[in-house]
Amino acid sequence: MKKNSSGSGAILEIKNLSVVYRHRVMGRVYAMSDVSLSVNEGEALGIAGESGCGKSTLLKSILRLFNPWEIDSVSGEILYDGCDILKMTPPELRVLRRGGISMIFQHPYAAFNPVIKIGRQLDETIRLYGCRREAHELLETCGLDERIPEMFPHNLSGGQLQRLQFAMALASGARILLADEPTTSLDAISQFEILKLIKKLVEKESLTLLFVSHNLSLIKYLTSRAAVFYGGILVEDAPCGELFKNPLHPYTDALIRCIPRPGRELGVIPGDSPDLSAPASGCPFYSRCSYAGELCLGKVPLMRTYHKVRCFNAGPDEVSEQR
Amino acid sequence: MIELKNISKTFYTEKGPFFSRGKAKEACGNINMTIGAGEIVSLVGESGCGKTTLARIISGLIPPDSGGVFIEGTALEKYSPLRRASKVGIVFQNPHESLNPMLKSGFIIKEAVKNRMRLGEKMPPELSSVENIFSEFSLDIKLASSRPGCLSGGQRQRLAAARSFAMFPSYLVLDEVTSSLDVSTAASLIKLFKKINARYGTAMLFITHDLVLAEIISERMYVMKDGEIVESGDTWEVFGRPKHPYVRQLKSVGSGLDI
Repeated sequence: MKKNSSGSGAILEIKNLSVVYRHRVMGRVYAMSDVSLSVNEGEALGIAGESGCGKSTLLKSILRLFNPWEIDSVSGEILYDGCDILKMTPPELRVLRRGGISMIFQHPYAAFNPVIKIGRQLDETIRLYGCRREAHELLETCGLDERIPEMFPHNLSGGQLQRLQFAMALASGARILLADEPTTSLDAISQFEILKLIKKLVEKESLTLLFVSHNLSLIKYLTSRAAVFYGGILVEDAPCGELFKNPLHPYTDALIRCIPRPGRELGVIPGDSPDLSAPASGCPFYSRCSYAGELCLGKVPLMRTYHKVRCFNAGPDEVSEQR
Repeated sequence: MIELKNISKTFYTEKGPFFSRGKAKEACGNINMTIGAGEIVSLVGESGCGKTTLARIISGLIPPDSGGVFIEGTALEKYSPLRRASKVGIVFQNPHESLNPMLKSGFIIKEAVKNRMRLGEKMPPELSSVENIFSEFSLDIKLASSRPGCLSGGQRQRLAAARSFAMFPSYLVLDEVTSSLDVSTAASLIKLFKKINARYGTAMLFITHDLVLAEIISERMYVMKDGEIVESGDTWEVFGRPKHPYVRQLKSVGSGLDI
């Protein structure tokens, strides 16, 4: 694989990615349109949005985990170390999945083979990927005890299996972790334990993390930058401190208000999420937005450069004004 | 008022040799609880602590080993299944599994309304037709002719709630209704339940693993751990001054994630 010679520090760069699915009933589904995003090495990026907003599509396209028959078209570029993942051949993809990028799935019980003992599954990963660390060391790093290899997946709790997925990812020697809502099927306390583990791993192993969640409070806890998706487009992309203090897109603002907090009235976003099989020409949030004007109906503005946001109401671009 | 008196339930996890029963696991042990008319009570606990078992016992889906559930002084098992559904409704955790995929959503609601009519009990006029129930649960009436497979998670959960509510029960058990939904969908569902409670005076038992959510929705709460209730009382008291270490831990987790 070629190394990135430009020295921009970006380990993963997504340029104008559009994904269209083919659906038996709905026809074409425009799951993702014109998304540009870059992730620096060692950075933790949070990806937020409701279900059906394209979060999982983004992760799937990074690892090319599509079924060929469900895809209508994919355009754009995903650069990993300067190589376009979308143009990789199967052997190159295997190398990518082996040592480059690893995925943590949402449902812990679906991520393991139910009839093979954990130890064998872990050993297989270690052997195949040539990991230099021993199984018990990986288990210890992820806070699991030594008896785990003798057990089957059904003997373990959801939280333990989720930890095990992280051990597997470490065994494969991944540099980038893609975590697809790893805590949604867990209860409050084990969710917090997993979050602490992720935070520890990212700091200690200097991993790059893409953490997908619909809950912005988890993203605030874990990551330094957040990207908010709505209806298949990236609507806001800013450092967490900035995003939570001063959310510029009305959708981000509404999403923050929806998080239950003691002593605060719960906010509600009226209406349902948009139908992606018939995308509107304007802003997808138009019908649910309280600030929507005539401009929003026609088109979506381009991304601003500093506090990246795609909304007409966010005000002019600070950087371009200074010029 | 629903009263739970000394409810216990034990499950046997594995089969032993021959016909003997295997390891016993006590899901609920000696639980006493009351839900007053028209109030929202929440039940907080981690997974595997017996919340769902208790929800099933209250709604009469499984019998308790000992103790009894009393609705306005009458034991729950005295009611016929249909009559019971008109007293206590239940909404399950997973909307993908709780709805029959073969039936159209309009039919699902119509069946409940018909059963209600068969009992000959009075119904507020705004709940007498399928259209009204759909609009009450902010579902588009166009969805009545589609099957649950075509609906989103939030719409399915609203449909499941509408199905239970179409029997117009005086008590509604909400078993982790928001746990499989997005934050924003969950927020609108909670608002909906609060509206229903205020308008029709339906008492609700809101079961959740999130202490903060329980604080927002309910006036009174019970905290459960390992099949036993470890703390109960008014929400402001339990949330503001937790006594049991487990509740303190839950609260610290909640405040660790505060934005």
